[in-house]
Amino acid sequence: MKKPGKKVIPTKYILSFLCVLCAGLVVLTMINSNIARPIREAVSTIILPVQKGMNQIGEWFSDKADMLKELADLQEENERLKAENEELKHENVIASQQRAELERLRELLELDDVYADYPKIAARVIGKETGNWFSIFTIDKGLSDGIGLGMNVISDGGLVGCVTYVGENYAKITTIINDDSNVSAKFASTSDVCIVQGDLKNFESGMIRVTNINIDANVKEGDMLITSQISDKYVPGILIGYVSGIEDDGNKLTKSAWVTPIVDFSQMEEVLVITQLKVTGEE
Amino acid sequence: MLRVVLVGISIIISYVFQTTFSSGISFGVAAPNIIMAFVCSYALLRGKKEGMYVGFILGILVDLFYGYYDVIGINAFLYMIIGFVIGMFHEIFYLEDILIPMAVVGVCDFLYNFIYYVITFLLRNKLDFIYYIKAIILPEMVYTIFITVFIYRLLMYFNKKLEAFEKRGEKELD
Repeated sequence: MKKPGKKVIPTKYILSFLCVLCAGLVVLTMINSNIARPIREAVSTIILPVQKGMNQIGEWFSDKADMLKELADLQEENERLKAENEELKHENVIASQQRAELERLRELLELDDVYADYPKIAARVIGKETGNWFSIFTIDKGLSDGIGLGMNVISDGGLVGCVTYVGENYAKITTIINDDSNVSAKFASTSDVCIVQGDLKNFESGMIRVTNINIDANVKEGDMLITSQISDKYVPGILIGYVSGIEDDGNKLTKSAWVTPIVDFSQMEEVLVITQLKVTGEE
Repeated sequence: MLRVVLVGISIIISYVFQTTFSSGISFGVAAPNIIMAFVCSYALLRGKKEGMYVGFILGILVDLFYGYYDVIGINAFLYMIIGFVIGMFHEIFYLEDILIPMAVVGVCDFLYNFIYYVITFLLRNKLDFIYYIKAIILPEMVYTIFITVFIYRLLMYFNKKLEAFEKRGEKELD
């Protein structure tokens, strides 16, 4: 196909040029990762619609598969849910009584409602990180929908992670199980503060590791772990998971725990983004 | 020209498949690396120059959206080198044999993940290499080799069609 007379640049020159280009890009984006923003926006206008379409196809298939499977289970589940509903009705009555009492006591103590309902935006997961090393997701809402950097993300009532990059129409979420994530958390029952560490190694077993718990903390299996007030990224009071094992660090100062997260990180389809940002006091 | 358009489309498709479907078909934590299978297969079928371009573009795509700390260039470099080196085998090997692409993809996926481990994990003092080999690298490698069987066959089929079409076009021009 080569036209005679037309000069062809040898492949090795192109390769060396591209190598230098890569090295240059690495250095440039290390110094300032915002340089690539315009390119990223441009490319995302091509990729995002395809990703969304592909997801819809995938969901359609899995819905059909689920439907077949579910028909059989549905009746059984209905029975179970009816029984559960009765129980819940009863519990609800007690809970509403307790809430009334709580409000009364709050008024008495002039306490603010600490765990207010946060404003949320629903979003769909449209992409996942390409390798197996990290746990990063893309959602289909971005700046234009009111998503901002550092907003917390929840799913199934549990903490997923926080927004680490926002594009015009998409955002990237780094999960709490990502290998270099750290979340400051506390135990709901005892208010002991600890650190939730994302680690690839632990997540294989379906758990996350919690470190830096005071040795005197009265923590037991089944305790609820929630985000703490002192975290600089996460709003307080979001459920993370339940303790399923405690172990002594052997240094007479701290102990560690294993926590089973609420969120099923491998099966996420829809997430809620909390649009209220954590107020850290620094500008 | 037609080839450029078709390759562009297949690059986007393989990238989108990797980001959307791969977690759906994963066993445990290991999802196959469709991009790796695509780059290697394409380079084997078309040679070092096109392999290099395809690797570079797919690597840039990966870096743009899922780059480690938003650094661009690491994946682009790795995939480009893989595309180039594998492309050199284009003239050596008998391309109908499926075992060659399988072996090539296996080796490449292992090396890629090894380098990626060194850059993103080892430098953060996560030293338990044996564990990561067992838990991440080997499962991904096996699964990617498996996926290659289909991707390579598919690419080979379309490549043949396209080559026949291009030859016909040339004859008509003469």
